[in-house]
Amino acid sequence: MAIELTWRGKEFEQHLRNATAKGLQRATLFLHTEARRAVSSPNSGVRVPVKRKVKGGNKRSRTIYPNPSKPGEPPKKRTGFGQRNVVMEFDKAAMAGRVGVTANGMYMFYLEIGTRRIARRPWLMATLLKHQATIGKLAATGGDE
Amino acid sequence: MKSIEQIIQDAYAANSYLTSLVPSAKFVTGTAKSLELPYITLSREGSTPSVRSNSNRVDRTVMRFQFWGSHSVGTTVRDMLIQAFDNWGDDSSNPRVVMMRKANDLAIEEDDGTWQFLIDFEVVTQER
Repeated sequence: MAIELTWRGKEFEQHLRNATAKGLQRATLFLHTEARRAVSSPNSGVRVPVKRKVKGGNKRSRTIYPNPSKPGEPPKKRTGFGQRNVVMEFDKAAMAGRVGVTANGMYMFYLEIGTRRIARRPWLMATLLKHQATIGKLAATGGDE
Repeated sequence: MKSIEQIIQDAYAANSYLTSLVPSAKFVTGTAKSLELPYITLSREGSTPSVRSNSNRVDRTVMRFQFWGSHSVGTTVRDMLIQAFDNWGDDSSNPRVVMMRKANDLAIEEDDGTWQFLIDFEVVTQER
């Protein structure tokens, strides 16, 4: 009796790497989407009249933002600049995904951790913790049941 | 039953080296705008129940230490906090602190020159 065994170690390893990368990529994308969603609550500006001090000078109206976020809440959106600067990257070789802010959107990072004078408005870590189970599941399965 | 914040504050107060750097009166929960530098705040980032049963519940909580002050003191405080609380546990407390493990740390300089050191610890607690 003879047994023929075909070893497909390389193919299996490649398959495993692809499946893991797919899962991590989906998990990173999911976190990126949810983080952007967390900072999408609007604080729309309202134009209010300004009493002119100098004849013919100064502006006639200015914008105020009447519903700012409270400490502990995610920051509210004014112009969408901060939200647009929430970015993600995925490095397949290193098997690592990152979600964060660009250098221009650094103030979003200060809002996340708070400063001495501004109470923190956690939006990234809070989102990660809120969706921890889903992110873990996506990373493990790639969204395929 | 004590809160995790109280358990950590008790452990902090018992550490003479840490209290010599930042007194326990300046290790507070919540915001501390009126305190003079240096000071440390402790806050809870989030809690997720890991295991639920009809007797004991195990929770995982992220606790955040934030130090404000000078860079030199901050570096020492950060190292001492990690030394004191990384892989630390408390069997006598209720809930029992099974383990604390360092998750993240970073340091940034704010506009007024104050340094902020941030250290996150993952805390696993078990109800008695």
